[in-house]
Amino acid sequence: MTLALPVLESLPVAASAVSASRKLGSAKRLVCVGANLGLHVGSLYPKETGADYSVTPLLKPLMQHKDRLTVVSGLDHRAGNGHKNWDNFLCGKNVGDVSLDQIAAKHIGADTRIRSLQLSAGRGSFRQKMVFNEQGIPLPMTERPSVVYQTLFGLPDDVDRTEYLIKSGKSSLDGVSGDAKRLQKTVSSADKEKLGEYFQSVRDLEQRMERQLRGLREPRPKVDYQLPEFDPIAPTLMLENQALMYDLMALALETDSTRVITMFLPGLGEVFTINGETLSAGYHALSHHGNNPGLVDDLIKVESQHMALLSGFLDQLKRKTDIEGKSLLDSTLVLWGAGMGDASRHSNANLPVCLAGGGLKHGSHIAIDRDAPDAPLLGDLYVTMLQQLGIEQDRFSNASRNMNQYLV
Amino acid sequence: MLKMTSMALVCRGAAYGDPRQQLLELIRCGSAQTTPLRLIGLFVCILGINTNSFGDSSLQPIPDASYEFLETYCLDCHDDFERKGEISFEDPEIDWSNQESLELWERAIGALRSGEMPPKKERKPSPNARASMVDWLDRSLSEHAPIGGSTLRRLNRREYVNSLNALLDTKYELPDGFPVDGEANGFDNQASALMLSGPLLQSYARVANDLAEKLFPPARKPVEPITSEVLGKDFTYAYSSGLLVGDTMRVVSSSDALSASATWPSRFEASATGRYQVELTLSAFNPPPGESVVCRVYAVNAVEAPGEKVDTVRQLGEVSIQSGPVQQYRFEGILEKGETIALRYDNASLAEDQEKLAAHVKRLFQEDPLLAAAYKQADGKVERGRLGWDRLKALMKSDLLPDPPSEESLDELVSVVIKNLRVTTEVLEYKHFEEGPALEVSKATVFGPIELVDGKEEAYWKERASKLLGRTKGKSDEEIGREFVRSFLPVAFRRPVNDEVFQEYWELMENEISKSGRLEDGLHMALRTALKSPYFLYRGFEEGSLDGYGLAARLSYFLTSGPPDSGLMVAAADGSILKESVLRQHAIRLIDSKASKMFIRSFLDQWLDLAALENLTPDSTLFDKPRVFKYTDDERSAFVEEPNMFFREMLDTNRPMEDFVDPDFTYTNVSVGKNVYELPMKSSSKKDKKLQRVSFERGGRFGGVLGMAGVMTATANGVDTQPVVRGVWVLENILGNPPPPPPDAVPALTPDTSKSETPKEMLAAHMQEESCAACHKKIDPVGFVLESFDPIGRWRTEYPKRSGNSKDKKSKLLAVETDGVMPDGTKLNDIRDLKAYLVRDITPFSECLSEKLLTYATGRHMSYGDRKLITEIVEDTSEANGGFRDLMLALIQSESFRMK
Repeated sequence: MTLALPVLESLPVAASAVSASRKLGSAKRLVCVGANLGLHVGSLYPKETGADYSVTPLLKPLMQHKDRLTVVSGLDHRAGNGHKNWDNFLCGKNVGDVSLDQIAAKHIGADTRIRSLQLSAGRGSFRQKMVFNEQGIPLPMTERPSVVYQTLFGLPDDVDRTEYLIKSGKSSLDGVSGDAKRLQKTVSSADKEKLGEYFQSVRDLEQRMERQLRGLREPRPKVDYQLPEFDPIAPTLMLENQALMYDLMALALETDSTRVITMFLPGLGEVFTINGETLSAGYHALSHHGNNPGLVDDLIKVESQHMALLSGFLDQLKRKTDIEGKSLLDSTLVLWGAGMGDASRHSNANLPVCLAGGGLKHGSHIAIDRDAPDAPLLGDLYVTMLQQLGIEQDRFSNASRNMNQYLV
Repeated sequence: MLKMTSMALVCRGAAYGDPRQQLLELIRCGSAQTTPLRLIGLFVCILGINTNSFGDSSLQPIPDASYEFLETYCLDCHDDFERKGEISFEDPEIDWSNQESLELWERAIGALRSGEMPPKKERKPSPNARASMVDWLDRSLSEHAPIGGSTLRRLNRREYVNSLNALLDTKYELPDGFPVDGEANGFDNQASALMLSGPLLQSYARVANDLAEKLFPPARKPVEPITSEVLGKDFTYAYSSGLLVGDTMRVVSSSDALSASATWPSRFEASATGRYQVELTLSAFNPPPGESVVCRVYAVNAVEAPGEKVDTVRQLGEVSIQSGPVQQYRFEGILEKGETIALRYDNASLAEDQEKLAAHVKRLFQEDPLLAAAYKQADGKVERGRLGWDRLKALMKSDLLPDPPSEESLDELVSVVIKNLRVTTEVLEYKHFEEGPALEVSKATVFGPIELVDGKEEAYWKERASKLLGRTKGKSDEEIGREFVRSFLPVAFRRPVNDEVFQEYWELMENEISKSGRLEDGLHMALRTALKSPYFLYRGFEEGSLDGYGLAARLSYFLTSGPPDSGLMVAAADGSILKESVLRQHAIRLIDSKASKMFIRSFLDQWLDLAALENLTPDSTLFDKPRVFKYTDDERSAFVEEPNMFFREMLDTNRPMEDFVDPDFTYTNVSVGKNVYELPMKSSSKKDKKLQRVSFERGGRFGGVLGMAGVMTATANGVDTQPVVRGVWVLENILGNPPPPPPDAVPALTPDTSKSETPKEMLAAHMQEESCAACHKKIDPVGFVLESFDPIGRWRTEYPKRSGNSKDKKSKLLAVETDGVMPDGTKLNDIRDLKAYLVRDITPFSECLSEKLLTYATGRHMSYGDRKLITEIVEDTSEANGGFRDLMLALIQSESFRMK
C-alpha cells in the first residue's frame, strides 16, 4: 500500500474500536444521482486527505452534513473517454452491464410498491442513459415531477380505462386460449408440446393481470405536498425541476413507496439566472471552460446549486424518520457522481464521487492514487455499497475488491 | 457456431493484455473459460437438447457385418476404454432418436468417405469393406435423419413487427425493451430457440393493447378551456438564444436549431389537442433601417423543443413587426397535447451557419471598424457567450487597440473569426441582445382548447382504422363487426379461418359492444385478441410437406422477413404455389422486389456476423497519428454495406459461385477503398461517402467474403486478431466443416513456448499433441493466412508494437507468418493461395452457403437427409453451369424447403 492516510493512522484507539465493531449491512435504501457534465473537480476536492480538510467551493454547501459525507477522489472505471462512455457511471467498465441500482433493486426492491424509480431532472440534449437492467436494456427516466407524483401518490389518471383493459383482457385471453385449443386438436405431438408453452404463458399472464388489478386500486400513501401548476420542463427551469424531484424522492423514501431511486441531472446550453444574476454563458458552454477563470467562476455557481440542492435533500432525509423512528439518512446510501471526470476535456478518468449516509463511516476526503498498482476502482466502492445494503457481492464489473477499510 | 455471444465474450476476454497470454489461453482449449472453442462446444450441446424432442427412443442393434468392421478398424482407439477424441463405438446398439448419436455417426461417415479415418498408420479396410460400411451408415442415417422435422415456429421480433405493419399498413416500431429472441444453428429465426414465456406474451399483449388503443380509441373526455398568460420573464430557451432584458425576452438569431434561435413559454403547454387562440405582445428592437422584424410562430413539443430544427416543426403563423411601441397580434391554431408555441426572429441576419455568419461578420466589421480591430487584437478568438462580448467591448475602449484591418486582410480576419461558428455566434448574440436588432417578446396569452380536434397522430390512426373497416356507410354495427372479422382474421392468420372461429371473435366483440354501446370497443377487443392468438404468432401448423399457405408464408418470411402478400395468398388459395413453376415465379418476384433487402441484411448480419460491427469500436492504437482513417460512422457503414451490395449483385446477376471467394469487383467508398483496400480511388468531394462499384483483377489480396473489411473486423475484436478464432470461423461459415468441440477430458496443455517468438511458433506446440492436432491442422493454416488482415481488415506484414509493455520496446516488430499446409497437403503462402484453393473446388463453399440459406429459410437444423439433398442440388447446379441465383432458386424448389 502506497496510500498515505494520515487520519486513519492517527485515529485514537477508542475510535478504532468503535469503527471495528461496525458491521456491514445496515443500509436499506439507495439513491444514485448522476450529473451529465460532472463537476469542476479542482473546486471539489480538498488538498488535504482525511477528516481535517479545508472547505472547497463545491463542498461548502454540504458542510452541514460533513460527518455523514465522504468525498473520494481518484476513482473511475478505467474505461474510454467521451460523452458516450458517460453511461457507464453505474455500470462499471462496460456501458450496458446491469447498473448498481438495479442490482440493489433485485435484492431490496421486491417489498415495495415500486421496485425502483428512475428520474431525470428535465431533458438534456445529450440522450444519456444511466440505468440498465440485467438484459442490458436502458430503463426510461421520468422527466416530469407531475408524473412522478402521480406514480407515487395519485391514482393513475385513467385508472378506469386501465381497469377496463385488464378486465376485458381476461376475456381476450379466454379467446386466444380457445384458438390454441382448436389448434391443438390438429397438430402433431411435438407441436402439442410446443403449444404447451403457449398455455403456460397464458396462465402466467393471467396471474400477472390479477396482480396488476389488485395493485391498481391499492390505496396510495397520502402526503401533504403541493406541486406547482406547471412542470418545470423548460431548459432554464432545470434546477427548479431538480429541487422538486428531490422533494418527491424524500417523500417516496419516507412513505416506503420505493427503496431504490436514481436521478439523472441533464446539462444543456441553457443560461441560468442564479440569485438574480444571469450567468455569462450556457451551462454546457461553461463546462467547456478551458480553464478560463470567468467561465470557471460561473460554472461553479451552477455546480454549487447542484451541491446546495443535494444538501437540502440530505437535510430532508436527516429530519425524516423510518418506521423504527431512525433518521432516514442513516439507512439511505446517497451516491452523487458522474460518468465524466472533466467535461472540459471529455475525460472519463478521476470521476467526482460524493457518498453520504447509509450508516457508513464518513467525514473524510479519501484520495486514491490512480497510479498505485493496487488503487481501488469506482467498482470497489460499489461493492462496499452493495455489502452495506446487505447484499452479498464481492465483485462489480472490473472491480473485485472493496473499500470497506475506508468506510466501515 | 461463432456468433454474437461468443464473439462478445472473446472480445471482453482479449481486449487488453499480453497477446502471448491470449494465445496460450487459446492453446489451452480444454480449460480456459472464455476460449471460443469451449463456447462452440456449449452451443452444440444446446442444439442437441433442442432437437432431441421429436421421435421416440428407437434403440437398434448394429448389424453383425458393420459391427465387425468397427471391431476391426475403429475400436482399437474408439472403445469405451480409449475413447479417443471422446468417441466410442463400442455400444452394439444405436439410439437413433438421440441427436448426439446422429451427429456422431454423421461424423463417422464423413471421416470414412474422406479417408480421414482410419488414420494412415493404422490398418486400412478394403475399398469394398469401406463401401459397404458407408452404404449401411448412409441408409441408416437417411432413415433416421430424414428431410424436415421442425416444430411450430414462432415469429421472431423482426417477423413480428413486419407482420403487424403489413397487416395494419403502418410504420409501428416495437417499444424499447421488447424482448430479444433466442438463437440456434447460428440464426435468430429457428423454431427450437423461439420459445414463448409469460413475460413475452405480456409484451405481445401490451403491443396489441397499444395498437388497439390507437386504432379504436376510447371516447374523448371534454376539456375545459383556460386562459394562460405568459410574461416575458417566463419565456425559456435552450442555448444562449435569448436574454431577458427588463421585462422582455429578446431573441436575435435565425439559426436552424430551435435551441440556438427560439424562445418559448416555460409555463404553458396544451392540455389537450385542440384549437387555441394565441395573442402575442411583441415589438421590434432597433430593426435594421427600412426592415421589419419577422416573427415566425411554431408549434413545438415542450419537452422535445430543444432538440428540434426549424424545418421539422409546424409553423402556426408569421407576423411582421415595424419599429414602434409594443403591439398585440392575434391568431388561432391547432396545438397538440404537450405542445407549446415557439417564437423566432426569422429574418435575423445572425445565424450559426458558415456562409451567413461570414457575411454577417463582414458587414459588422465594415460598419464598425473598432469591432474588427478588437477581434484583431484578440487574434480572432474570445470566450464564448457574454464574457467574450465583454472582452471585445473592453478592447474597443482600450488605447492599445491596433488599427482596423485593411480591406484585404478583413476577409482573412473574418475567416478566422467564423472558424468557431458556435462561439462567435454566441458572442455576437450578446452584442445584438444589447444593441439590436432583436425581436422582443413581452407577453403571450393562450386560450383554449376552444374545440378538441384530432392531432396528426390521431388522424393517422383514424385513417388506418377506416382503411381496415372498408365501407361502413349504411351498415349496422353488427354488419360492420362481422365483416371486420371475416376480412381481418384470414389476413392476420395468413390462412382461411373457419366459421367457428369467426363466431367466437364476433361473440367477443358483441359482448364489449353490449357493455358500452360503442362499436369501437368491440373492434378493439377483436383486434387485440387476434394479435396475440397462436394463429398470428406461430406458423407451420401442418406436418410433413407444407400446404399452400404454409409454403407461401415460408417463402415470404424467408425473402422479406414479412408475411405473404396478396399475390402469394392467391397462389396459396388456389394451390398453384405448390407447382414448382409458380413457386419459382414468386421467388423471382420477391428476390427482385425491394423487400428482399430485409433478407439480405438479416442473413448477412448473421452469416457473416456483420451485426457485431454495431457495437465494436476499434482500439485507437490501430490508427496512425494524425488519423487519416478514423473509422467514422460513414466508414463503418461502408464496412457493413459492402457485403450487402456485393451479395445483391451476386444474386441479381447470377454470378458464378467462385465469385464469392475471388471476384473482380466490390463496393466501397473512397476512404475505405484508399485506406483499407489500397485502391487508387479518386476523391470527388460529395460522393466520397457513398459506396461505388469498383473493379479489380482477380487473384488479389482483397475482394470476396474473405477479403472484406467488414468480415475481417467482425472476426476480430477491435484490438487484435486471433488465428484460431478466424480459422474456426472459416471452417464453420465458408467451408462448412466446423471442428467438433474440444474434448473435456483432455488436460490443459502447457506446451513449452519459452523459446517461441511468433504466434505461429507458439501455436505450433499443439500440432505436436495428437489430440489437438486433429482439429488444429484444419484450423491453423486457414487462421494464419488471415493474419495478414489486421483487426479492421487492412493488409499487414508485421504485428504492431505493443504499447505499455516496456520489454517489447527494444524488440523488433514480429513478422506476420502466413504459410501453412492444408490437411490434404496443399501448401498455402498467403490469402491468394487460400482463395485459389477454395476456387479450385468451390463445392464445399457452395454446400456450406446452401446449408446456411436453408437453415435460415426453414428455421431448423439441416439433417443428414437435408444435407444429402443439398449435395445433389449443388452438383446439379454446377453441372448446368448455374450461378448463385440458379442455386437459390433450386434450393427454394427443393424438398427441404417445402418440408416442415
